[in-house]
Amino acid sequence: MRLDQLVAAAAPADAVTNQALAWQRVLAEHGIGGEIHAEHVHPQLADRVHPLERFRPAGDGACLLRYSIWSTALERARSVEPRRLGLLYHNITPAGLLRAEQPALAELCDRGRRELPDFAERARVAIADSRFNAAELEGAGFTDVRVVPLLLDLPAQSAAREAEPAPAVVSVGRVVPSKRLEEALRAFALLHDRLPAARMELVGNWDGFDRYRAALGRFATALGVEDAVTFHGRVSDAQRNAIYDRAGVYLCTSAHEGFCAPLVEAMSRGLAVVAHDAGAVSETLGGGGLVIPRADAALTAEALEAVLTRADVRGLIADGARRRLHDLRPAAVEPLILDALAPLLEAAA
Amino acid sequence: MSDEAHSGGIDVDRLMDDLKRRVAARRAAGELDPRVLDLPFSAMEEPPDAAGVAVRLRPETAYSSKRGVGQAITLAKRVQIKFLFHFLNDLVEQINRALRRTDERLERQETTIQRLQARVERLEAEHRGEPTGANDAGDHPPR
Repeated sequence: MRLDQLVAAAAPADAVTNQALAWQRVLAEHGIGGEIHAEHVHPQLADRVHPLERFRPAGDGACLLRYSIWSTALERARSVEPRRLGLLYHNITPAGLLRAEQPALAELCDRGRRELPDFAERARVAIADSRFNAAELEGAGFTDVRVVPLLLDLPAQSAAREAEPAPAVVSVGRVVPSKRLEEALRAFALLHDRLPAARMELVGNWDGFDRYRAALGRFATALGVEDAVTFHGRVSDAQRNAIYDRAGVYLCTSAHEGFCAPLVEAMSRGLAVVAHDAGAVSETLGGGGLVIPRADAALTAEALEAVLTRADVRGLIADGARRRLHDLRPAAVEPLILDALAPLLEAAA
Repeated sequence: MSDEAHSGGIDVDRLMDDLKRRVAARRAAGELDPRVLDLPFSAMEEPPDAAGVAVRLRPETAYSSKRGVGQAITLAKRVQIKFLFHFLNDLVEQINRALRRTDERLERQETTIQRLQARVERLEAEHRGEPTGANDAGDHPPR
């Protein structure tokens, strides 16, 4: 028995790619083989992900389409017998958040949303990695949608933090307009007024979004915090973890998230999270962080300061984070994967 | 606050109320810098020149230095520009939009060419029986 996976693009540090690889490992542990195919394959992954044109629907297997944008992977998925096809929805960035900077990419996002309902009848199994994403699938006509959270490589116990954290605010993710990093900078500038030693560490690449990155630099200068803000760009996992470990609080100001893996990574490093309420953010945190009404810079700064200066606030958040991490531990998620795929694998057997 | 926070049994509501009170007190005391709160991010976007768009109205070039009548001619030119400003500005915007579209098309074509070149090199290497170790590379979309 085998389950092949189709993704639009495979790249290092890409959440969809990481999930495909993690699921492949879990399935292999249960005797289920299968390959990953992508329209675009980063050279670093060439030995683990195959070009889409080599994909052939297996007579004895099933196929899972990871849906995050329009790509020719959708066309390939249409060649799969419906009873052997599953769809996993990672959500699609609303095109309006990208159009000004990347109109071509925005069009692919729009097209992905337009064509999603076509798969409601076609896919035997529908999976979403959050209830937020499941609701969008149901809105597109899918029924019996299973929710399976992201399978993340979490430590058995979240890391212990020092009593007095460094006044460093960290945010991880691609530097793209949907992350609303300008709102992170604005809140940080208010915090910096009160804690002049505070620093902001922004981790993530801005490939294709240089103009947005440049505008953020000018914004930091206009706010008077350019010397306190570091744009790290793309870093290794080890470098990212080191930045988590020396930070005092994690900040997420995204306007849209289908899950947001860095929130969970931060929690697992023992880092308190402050996040704007958008998409699946509140659901992913599950009580393991402070959720702020969107784009309220003053309240965000107040929450950041409270986390950095008050042990009782950090303790409150840490209690919630521990509970949430228990729900997201691999041992809890792996059975959900197998359960969600069961109808597909039975049909294909 | 989220439902999950309530079900988790942690008292985040009281904390959030406390934080909101502190913000209100700071606002009342004038401690929140309006320059920070109100600074528009849109003002930081690249000016057309920096974004690779070269056309803009330059009314300062409409002048005359002729002895005696220069000032009057300059004034006349500026008045004409003022009368025609909307028409001229629209023309400039149309040109800039066309240039932007051309730039984007060029970028896309360059990306395609690079990808196809890489593919040709890989296929040639495969044809020669050499190990390639890489497939076509491309940008991946943001999530």
